Amino acid sequence: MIEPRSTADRLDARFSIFWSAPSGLGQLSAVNHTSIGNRFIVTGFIFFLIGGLLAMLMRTQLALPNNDFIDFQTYNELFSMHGTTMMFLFAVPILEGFALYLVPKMIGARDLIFPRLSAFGYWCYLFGGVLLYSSFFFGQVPDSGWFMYTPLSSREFTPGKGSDFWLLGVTFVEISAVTAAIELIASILRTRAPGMTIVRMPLFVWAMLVVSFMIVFAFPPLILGSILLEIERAFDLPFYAPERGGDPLLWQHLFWLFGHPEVYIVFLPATGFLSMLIPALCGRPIVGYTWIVMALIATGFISFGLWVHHMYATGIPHLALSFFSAASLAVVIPTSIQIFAWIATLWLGKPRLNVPMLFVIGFFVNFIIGGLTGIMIALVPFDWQVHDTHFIVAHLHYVLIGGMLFPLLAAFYYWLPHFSGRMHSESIGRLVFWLMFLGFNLTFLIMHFTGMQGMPRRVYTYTDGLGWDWPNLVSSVGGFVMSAAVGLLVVDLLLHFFYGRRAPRDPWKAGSLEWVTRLPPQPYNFISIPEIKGRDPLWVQPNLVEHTENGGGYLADPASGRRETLGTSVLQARPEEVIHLPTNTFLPLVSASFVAMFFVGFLFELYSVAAAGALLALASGFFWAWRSGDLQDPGEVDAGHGLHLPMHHRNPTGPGWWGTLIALFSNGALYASLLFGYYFLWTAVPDWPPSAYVIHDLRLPTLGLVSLLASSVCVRWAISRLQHAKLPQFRAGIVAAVLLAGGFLVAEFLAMRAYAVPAEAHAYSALLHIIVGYQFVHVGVAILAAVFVLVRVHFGYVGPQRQLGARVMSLFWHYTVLAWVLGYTTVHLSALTL
Amino acid sequence: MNAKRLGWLQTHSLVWMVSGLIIWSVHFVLIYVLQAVSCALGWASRDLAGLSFINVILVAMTVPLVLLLLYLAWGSWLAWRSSGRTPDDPTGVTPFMALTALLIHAISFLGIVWVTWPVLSARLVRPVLQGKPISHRLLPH
Repeated sequence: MIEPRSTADRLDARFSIFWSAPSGLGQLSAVNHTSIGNRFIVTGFIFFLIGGLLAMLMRTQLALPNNDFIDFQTYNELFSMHGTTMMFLFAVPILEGFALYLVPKMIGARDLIFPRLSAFGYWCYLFGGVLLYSSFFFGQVPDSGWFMYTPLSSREFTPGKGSDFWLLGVTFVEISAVTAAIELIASILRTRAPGMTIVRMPLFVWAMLVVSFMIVFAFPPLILGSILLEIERAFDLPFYAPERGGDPLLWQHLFWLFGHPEVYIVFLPATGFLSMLIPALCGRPIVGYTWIVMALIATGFISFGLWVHHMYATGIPHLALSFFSAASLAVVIPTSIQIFAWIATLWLGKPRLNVPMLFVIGFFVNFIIGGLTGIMIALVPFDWQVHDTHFIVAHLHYVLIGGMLFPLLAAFYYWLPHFSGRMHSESIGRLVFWLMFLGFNLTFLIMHFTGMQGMPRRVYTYTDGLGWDWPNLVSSVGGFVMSAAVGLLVVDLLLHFFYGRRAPRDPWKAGSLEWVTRLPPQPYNFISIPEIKGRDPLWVQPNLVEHTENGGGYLADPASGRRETLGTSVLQARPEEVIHLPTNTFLPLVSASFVAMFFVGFLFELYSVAAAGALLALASGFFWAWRSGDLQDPGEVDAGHGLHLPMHHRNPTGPGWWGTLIALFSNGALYASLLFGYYFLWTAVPDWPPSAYVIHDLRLPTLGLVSLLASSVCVRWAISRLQHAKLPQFRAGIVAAVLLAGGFLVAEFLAMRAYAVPAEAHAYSALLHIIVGYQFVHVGVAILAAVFVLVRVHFGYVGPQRQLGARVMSLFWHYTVLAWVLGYTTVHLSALTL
Repeated sequence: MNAKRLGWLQTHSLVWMVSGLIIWSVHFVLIYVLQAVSCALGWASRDLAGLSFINVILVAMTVPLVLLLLYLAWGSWLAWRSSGRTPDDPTGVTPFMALTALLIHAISFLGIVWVTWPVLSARLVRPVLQGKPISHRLLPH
């Protein structure tokens, strides 16, 4: 006899119709955050295994003195790819994967706010990683270290394609970090369930909010540095070459402006894990919520003031070093606040010593050791003694493995029921932990000693009799113990999916919202979106699961057949709009393929292919934007409980506006890095700029600037006309703005054509061309966007009631004009006045 | 001063909440940039009334920022003291944000003083270093 189906099952069947992805190849069109998050995690884990394999090859080589298991060239490739893989292809993406998977479930949303963007990010990550690893097939593996210092990585000393594979592959992967950050910020601020005010946000979500902002500002310096280095290698424009006015230190600044925040970008999500796990496994709320939030935000800021501590030995003025040393010590305070809050929670709760908790304890032990050696090398004199030795290698592994891998594995075991619907094996899990903990400490504790004995990093072998023999052998043995742990973990996982015990709902008796979903979750997460009444909803709201499942919350009616979630206000999380989410589409895959075409074309110097790829990617972007609208305007829709809300197209600062704003912050950081490069060279290089290379005629550039400023006024006026439903005036304003922007292009182009100095001559002329080129690209895109909006108005997608598209365009336009105010000042005024 | 507002900036906003750290960042950028510019322009070797010119500039830049920080901290303090749970704010968003802002102002204050400390102490050790400003003596040649 067939059981009568419950309300929940009937609703589930109806939601599943338009929430699930097609099977087979159709899976490639999935944009749902659960699918994308899983893909990031699985891909990241595979790269972790590959990176670990490279490390084992190195440890085999170093196990004995004068070993000839691999030669120096291979060794250079191994350490370069090991670092690159672990940082760019494992640590950041897998944490993003966890965030993309967990954040919507923790904040009570059905999906992320820009599902196609996260799918696009995943393809960029996968293609970029594959591009980087394809260097093995061409025998052109990057070998200049994971931080690619110039001039070693420059064309003169690395003539092959190795550096190009790195620069293009890593930049491609970084796109995914930035898109995920934009996605997470907008989702966290705008789609929390009603009642989840800013006081009730789970701490992992706080951590990801801070981390996402950090990514938005920290990744652009490296993206810019990579673009400049690639241009130097491909077209001989000298940015880092001292003989033509460049400076290799510029690369180090740009790299570490990214590289130090990066350490915290991988550490803070891990702290977010701990702030979720510890309360759940202790059965009590976290101690010091406000203090932890403060600590997260403080770390996010202060970690941007540490980058020079990677450059203590470069001859920077000592007074400047002292600022960075001070900031490096100051960042200990917020980190310690978090550690004490966790200890207090453990102290006051009833901790359960299971596998996730073991990994938490492993974190405490290892990370604190790494933190203490960090304080030692934050001090300039000590750092000089151990600079570039194995002491540094030991320190950074304690911080990264202790601070990131151990919490990650804790989180992995803790949320495993979510991914598979099954419980982990306690016995195998414990074995994995102990092998990992012992192997790790065996490898790296002694490495401090090896470094103190003077063994430099990145040497492929050493002679005996230096006292380095036995510590290296111990490290190698430890390394293999650790890889045994990883191997066992893989076996555990494979067995788990077949033999794991079925998990009940909320198996840890946790209080956070992600445990309301089914295990594994349905793609829509929640049949209805509940009203949140506390920081740990499952602890304070009895029957929350039944209430949600039986359609007791908002948006419980699947009749619209649309993917929908609630848009709420930033601080109070009051419902403001219903957000219509896009469904399965191949568009992200297609767009990412065009971007891949650009990168591959560039790599192999097929510049027509690269240009075609860039243009196709741009075109697919506009097609994407075209598909984002909705011709029907249902007015207000019923969200349940008597709540009538507008669709998000009606909100002039809807999701698209927020996403654009955050993307422009990131773009601004890129531009700021470019201007930093200009002014850095001005202070660091003698006779910079050379007076013969300065542009003296200001007439055309000033005409261009005035023209561009006037265009901004036109756009502003046009938007105000749109608000008053004066469509002809709106059109006239936009057309005028486009013409004025065209005037700028002509004026500045003529000015630059009159400038007789080739870009290859000097870093100064090269930078002028890059700054003006940046502006041309932006004005070009702004013009296209304006024309696009005019067409959208014509077809009825944009109008007085639905201004979102026009608002997004105007935001971009004003940014472009503002950028040129700085660009004009730099290119045309600074050299004349300073 | 109105406890709730400074110009367009309200105590009840995320920007206010992190304002302390924004000031810390501005200070950090300025202290680094001014130091670099001073070295580039050769100010490092100049003295001003017996004090190292570069150090005077750096301290002179720090003082107004610290005053602004204290002013904002005071605003947060007032906002925190006057905030209670109101029917409009049952979950306590206002006290949370005011307290977080206050804590952030406090750590930013410590951060600014700590980062500026080398500038102050450099003046103190100067006599030991043959009477030359430390910033000059240690410049790369």
